[in-house]
Amino acid sequence: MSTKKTVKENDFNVEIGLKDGQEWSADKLTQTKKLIKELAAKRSPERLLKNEFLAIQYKMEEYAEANEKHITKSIPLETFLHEYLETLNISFRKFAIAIDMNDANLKKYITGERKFNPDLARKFGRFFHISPITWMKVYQLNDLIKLRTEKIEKRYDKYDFRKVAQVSSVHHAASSVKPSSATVTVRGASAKRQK
Amino acid sequence: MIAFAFRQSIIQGKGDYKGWLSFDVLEEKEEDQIKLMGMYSQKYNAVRVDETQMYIMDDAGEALIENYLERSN
Repeated sequence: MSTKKTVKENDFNVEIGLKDGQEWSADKLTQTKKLIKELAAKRSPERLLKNEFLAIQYKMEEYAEANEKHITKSIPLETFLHEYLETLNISFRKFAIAIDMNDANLKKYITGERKFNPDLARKFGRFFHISPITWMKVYQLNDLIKLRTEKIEKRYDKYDFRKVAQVSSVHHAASSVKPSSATVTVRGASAKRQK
Repeated sequence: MIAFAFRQSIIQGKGDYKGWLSFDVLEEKEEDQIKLMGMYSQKYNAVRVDETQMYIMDDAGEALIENYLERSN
């Protein structure tokens, strides 16, 4: 009699890979390496650049689509930008000029001192032939990671609805009025009326 | 899976190996193997090397990613 456990074990007993379970022979490996070398030699400079660009693009896409909760360390926009500039062998300044920006000003956007925005994402997107959405997603993801990983600052403690609205009054008002009218009793306003 | 593997070759491959994916097609029956290789060749632009080995590179791989791993961007 086959128990559920046995069936599960059988399900996993599936061979994946080479039928004989062996790796490629040394001869096949040598032949393959030779073939790769021959084919790679035929690649045009444009194709080589395209592959380098695709590598950065796919990395960005993988990062942008990842679940924020599973990322322990963020990758700043700056990192991806530098990879592109390095591939093109152009300076940051030259890039800034090419997209009608001052390099010092652009630096502020890249390092997070100023908010990266859709206009910049479009410029980056057009320049590197990659969707502006990907640039924005990377930026926004980094903001989310920052939000999750940064320690909560004490200065935010003062922001609490309980310091503004009387919870019992809010509850009472919500249950006694028609749904169309929103009534919130605010301490300040209430005190003013009583005067 | 082939598209995913190719994307990894682009991301992680170095030098000549960037944008190059090779794989073996192994079926119990030879006729099935030939059929499958024909299908990979026609559908994915894979190139046959020998009786079992095939490869996909550059444009063919890029098209695979566009077709099968396309994102909403």
